[in-house]
Amino acid sequence: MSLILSQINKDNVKVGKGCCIALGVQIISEIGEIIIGDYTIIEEGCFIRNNHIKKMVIGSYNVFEIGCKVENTNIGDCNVFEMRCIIESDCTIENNCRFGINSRIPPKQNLPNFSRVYYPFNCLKVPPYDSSQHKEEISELCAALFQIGSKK
Amino acid sequence: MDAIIQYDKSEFHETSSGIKISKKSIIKGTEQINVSGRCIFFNDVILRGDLAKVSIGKYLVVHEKVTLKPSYTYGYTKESPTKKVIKFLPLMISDYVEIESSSIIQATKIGTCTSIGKNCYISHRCIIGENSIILDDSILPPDTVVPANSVYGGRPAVYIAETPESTAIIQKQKLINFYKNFVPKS
Repeated sequence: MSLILSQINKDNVKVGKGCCIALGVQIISEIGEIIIGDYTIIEEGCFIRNNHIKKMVIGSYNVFEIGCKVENTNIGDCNVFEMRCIIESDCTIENNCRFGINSRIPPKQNLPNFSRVYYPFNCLKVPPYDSSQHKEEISELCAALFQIGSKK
Repeated sequence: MDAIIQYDKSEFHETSSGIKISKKSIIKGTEQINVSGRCIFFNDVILRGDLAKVSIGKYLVVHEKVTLKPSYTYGYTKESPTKKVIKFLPLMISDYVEIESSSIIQATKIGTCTSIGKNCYISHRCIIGENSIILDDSILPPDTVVPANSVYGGRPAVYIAETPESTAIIQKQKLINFYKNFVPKS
């Protein structure tokens, strides 16, 4: 069960279990579908759009903080997009990446696993680690938000 | 003489204690929000009171497109004294604070007579001391503590200067005049 507080077109957008989508989020899919995985958190003011005919897949355990903007990219699992980062069209992002506050990624980039991006567009790679702690923390956060949101 | 700003009466909602809230702002969880009085909230302000308690002082001015959201930590509670659990921290904003447009604020405490610039990003659990100024376009990383009477700015934000002793009085007069001059169109 997921908590959706803003208005989304449910025909074209499929949301997995345990997701928390906050107020003011715009998820726009004109022709192709958008499929969002389990336990993702999409905070206020985010903007996700799919302009292509193909479907756009966003994985599980991702966190989109306030004001992010994502267009036409396929995203893996366990990524963190901090406040107001902008990801332009036709990129692909793999697992366990982290994007700093206000960073900006130009179109048609491929970001491998475990990369870190800082403002304005510096990119580093970090040695691989086990992401099970991240998954536990995010599933706890989703449970807490779901409890607060469904108290009415 | 400050400029008189006239607003359309149909766009703002006014309560008995003098709080003027724009009808286009999104305010959630009003049972846990405690406002002292005489505050102004402009368009597209998002204020989440459902996560934790929000207590706001008097003469607060929040400009367009600001989001105010309480932050969280991992800590021990009475119900689970051995395992760490998510706790949402209350947000306290003191008197005479001005927050300019498009900022994102997830701090825990903002002191009196401070002014926060445009496009600022104040991350989780920050504490901002009194009489301080945060310049435009600055990013404060999580858990920063801004001491009293200081000017912070930059990306990441660092200590730049000390504010003069008259900032408290100037800020109080500026916001009292702003509220007095914010008048509906007749």
